Amino acid sequence: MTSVVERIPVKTGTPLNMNKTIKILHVEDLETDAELVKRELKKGKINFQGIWASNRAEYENALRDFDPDIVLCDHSLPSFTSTDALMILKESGKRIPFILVTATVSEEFVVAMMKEGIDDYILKDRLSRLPSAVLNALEKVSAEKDKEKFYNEIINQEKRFRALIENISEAIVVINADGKITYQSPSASRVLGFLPDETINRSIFSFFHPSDVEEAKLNFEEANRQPETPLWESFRVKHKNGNYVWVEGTITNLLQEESVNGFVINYRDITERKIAEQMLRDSEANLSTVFNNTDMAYVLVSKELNIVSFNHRATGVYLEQTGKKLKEGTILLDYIPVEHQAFMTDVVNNVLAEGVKEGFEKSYPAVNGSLIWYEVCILPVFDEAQNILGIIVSTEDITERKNTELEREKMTTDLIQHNKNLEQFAYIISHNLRSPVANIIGLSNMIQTMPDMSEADFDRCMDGLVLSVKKLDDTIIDLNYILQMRREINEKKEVVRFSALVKDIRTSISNLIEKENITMKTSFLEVNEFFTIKSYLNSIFYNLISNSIKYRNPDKLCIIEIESKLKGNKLCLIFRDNGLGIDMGAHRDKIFGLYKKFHTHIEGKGMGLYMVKTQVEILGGTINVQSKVNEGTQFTIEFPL
Amino acid sequence: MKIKEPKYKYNNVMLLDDNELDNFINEKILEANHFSKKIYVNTSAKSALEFLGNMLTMGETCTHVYPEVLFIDINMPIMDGFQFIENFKKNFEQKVKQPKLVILTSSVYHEDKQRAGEISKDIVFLNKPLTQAMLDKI
Repeated sequence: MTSVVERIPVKTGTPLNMNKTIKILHVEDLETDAELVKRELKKGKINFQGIWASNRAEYENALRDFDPDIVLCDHSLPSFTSTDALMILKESGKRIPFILVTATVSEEFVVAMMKEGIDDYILKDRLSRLPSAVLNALEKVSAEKDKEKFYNEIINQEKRFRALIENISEAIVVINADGKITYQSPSASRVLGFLPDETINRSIFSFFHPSDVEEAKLNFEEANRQPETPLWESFRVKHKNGNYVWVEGTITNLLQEESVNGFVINYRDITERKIAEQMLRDSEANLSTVFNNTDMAYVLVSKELNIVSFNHRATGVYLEQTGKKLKEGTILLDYIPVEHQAFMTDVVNNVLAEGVKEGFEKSYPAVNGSLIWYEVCILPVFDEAQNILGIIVSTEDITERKNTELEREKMTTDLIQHNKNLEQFAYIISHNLRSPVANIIGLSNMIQTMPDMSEADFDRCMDGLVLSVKKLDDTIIDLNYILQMRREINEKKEVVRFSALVKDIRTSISNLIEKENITMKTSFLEVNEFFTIKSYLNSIFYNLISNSIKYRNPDKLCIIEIESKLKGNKLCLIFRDNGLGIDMGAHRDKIFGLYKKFHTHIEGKGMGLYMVKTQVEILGGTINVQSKVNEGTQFTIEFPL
Repeated sequence: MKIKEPKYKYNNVMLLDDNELDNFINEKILEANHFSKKIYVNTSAKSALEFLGNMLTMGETCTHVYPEVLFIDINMPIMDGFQFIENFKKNFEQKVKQPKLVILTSSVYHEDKQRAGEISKDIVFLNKPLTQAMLDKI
C-alpha cells in the first residue's frame, strides 16, 4: 500500500516518525493480554491507534473498515486460529505486516508460519521486543513495496521498449565485436525472412551479397574506429527466399555500452526504391539512346527561342541546311535559311500563343544541289501548371517519301491522262462509227418512205449509202490499225539512222516533193542514231513531213527543216516548217486529238498527229508543238536516252 | 403528194452540219414533213454565225427571215456545235427572238447529251437520223 510507504519513510534502525499514527489491529481473545500489548507499545513510544478484535467476524470487519497498517495476532482463539487470520489477510490482498503474538508454541509451528508469510513472532512473556518488531516489520514491508514498485516500473519500461522495437518497421540487428549476430528484432525477420534462430551467432557478413561484402566490412571497421558516427549505406542482403533485398541503414558503435556491448544496426528494405531508381536510370538511358539515335532531329528551344538542347541528328540536319553547327544557348533562327525565317517566326509565335502543335513540309536545296524535303513539327512544352516553357522543333528528312509521293502523283496524273485519252478514243470511235450508221439509216428510211422522190435525189441517196458504208469500213480499218500499233510495242528495237530514214521517206514521196518544189534541210550532226522501233520512228517522221507538205503555205516556197540535238540525257528532234500553222489559242488541246482537223480545204482524216503522239509516247518520249498562223509550225520531240 | 400549197410548221429553219450528206438527208426529211417553208443550210459554224450576223443588219426584214429553229451538229472541225451555241448565245440571244436550238448529232455519247442539258434545258437533243416523230415534238 503506497500510503503506508509514504507515511513511514523507511530508514533502517531509525525510529519511526512519532507524529505518524500507526493503525494496529490486535486479534486477542483475552482482554488482559490485549491490555499488556497496549501498554508495551506505549512504553515503546509507539504512536498508534489500536483496534481489538476477539473473534473472526470482528477481525474481518476491522480489516475492511479500519484499514490497519499492521496486524498483531494471538495464535489460539476460540473460533479461529492465527493461521486462519493470516489466510484471511492474504485473501484480502493487502500486504501489511502480520506479527504472531503468542504464548509458547513449538519451533516447527513457528517455522511453518514463517513459511506461510508471517513477518515476525513475539512470545507473550517477551513482549518488550514488540515495539521494535512492529517498526521493523513495517519497514520491511515498506521496502518490499518500494522494490516491487521499482520492478514494475522496470518491467513496464522494458515492455514499452520491446513494443517499440517489435512494432517499428525498421529492423534492428545487434552484432558483437566479431561481427556475429547477437540480437535481431522481429521486424528484421519480416525484412529478411530469417527467424532469430537462424541468425543468432552467425556472422553478419554471410548475409551480404558477395559483391557487397568487402564494402560492408569496410563500413564495419570504420564504425569500429569512430564510435560516435553512425555509418552505413545501401547494401544487398540475402533474403531467406534466395533473393537479395536492398537495405539501407546505420551502424552505431555501442561497444562501450555495457548493456549492448556491440554494434547496433538499424536498417530498412529499400528494394522498391532501388528498383524504381534503376528503372528511372534505365529509362533515362533508353530515352537518351532513342533521342540520339532516331532519324528525327529534335531541338529543344526556350520561350525566348534560345536553343536549350538538341540531338545528334539535329546537328546533321542544320549543318545540311545552313552549314552551321548547332550550339546551346544560341538563337534558333540563326540556323534557319534567311528566306524561311519569317515563315518560321510566324509558326513559332503561333505555337507559343496557342499552345498547339503545328507542322509543315519544306524543301531546301542541299549543299550538293539536290532538293531535300523536311517535315517540320513544332510542339509546345508545358510545365506542370500548363505554362509554356518552350518548344520542341522536330525535323524529319522525308525526301525519299516525298519523291515517292511526287512520283506517285506523276503516275496518277499519267494514268488520269491515259484514261482521258481512252475516253476520248472511245468517244471519237463511237462518233465515227455512229455517224455513217445514222446516215445509212436515214438514207434507207428515205428510200423506203419517199417512193416518189426525184431520180436525182434517189441517185444521191444511193451515192450517200455507198459513201457511208465506205466511211464505216475506213473507220473500222483505222481502229484496227491504232489497236494494232499499240500492241506492236514488243517489236524489236534496232539502231535507226535519221539520215537514212529521211532519205527513204524522200524517195517514197519524191513525186510530190518535185511537183511542189519542197525544200528539205536536215542536220543530224550532233546525233544521227537512235536505238528504237524503226517502224514507229518512220511513221513519226513520215506523218510530220507529209503534214508539212499538206499544210504548206501556197504563197511561199515550202521549207521543211529537221534537226537532232542532245539535251542533257535526252535526244531532241525538231521538225520545223513555214506552212499555214495552227491557231494555238483555239486548238492547243485538240492538236493531237483523233479525227481532229484544223484545215477544211485539205483531204485528211485527222489521224496523223494522233498517231505521231501515240507512237512518241509508246517509245517513252514527249512531243510539243509551237505554231503561228501563216508563219509555220515546229514540233519538238524528246526521247530519253 | 399534195398539189395544194402545203401548210408548213415553221417559216425559216437552219441546218448546220459540216457533212453534206447529212445536210442532204436532213433537208429531204424536213421537206417531206413540211417542217419549214425555207431551209437554210450551213456547213461550218463560222459561216452560220456570219450568216446570222448578216440577218441582224437587215432591220425589220430580219424578223421575217430569221430562223425559228436551228439544227446543230456537234462534231465539226474548227468550231464544234457546242462552241457555236456558246458563241450564238453570247452574241445573238439578246438581239432577236430566241430560236429553238436543236442539237442533231450522230453521237450517242451520254456526256454530250448531259453537256447540252447543262448549257440550257431548252436545248432539244436529237440523235440522227431525223424522223417524223422527232419533228412532231419540235
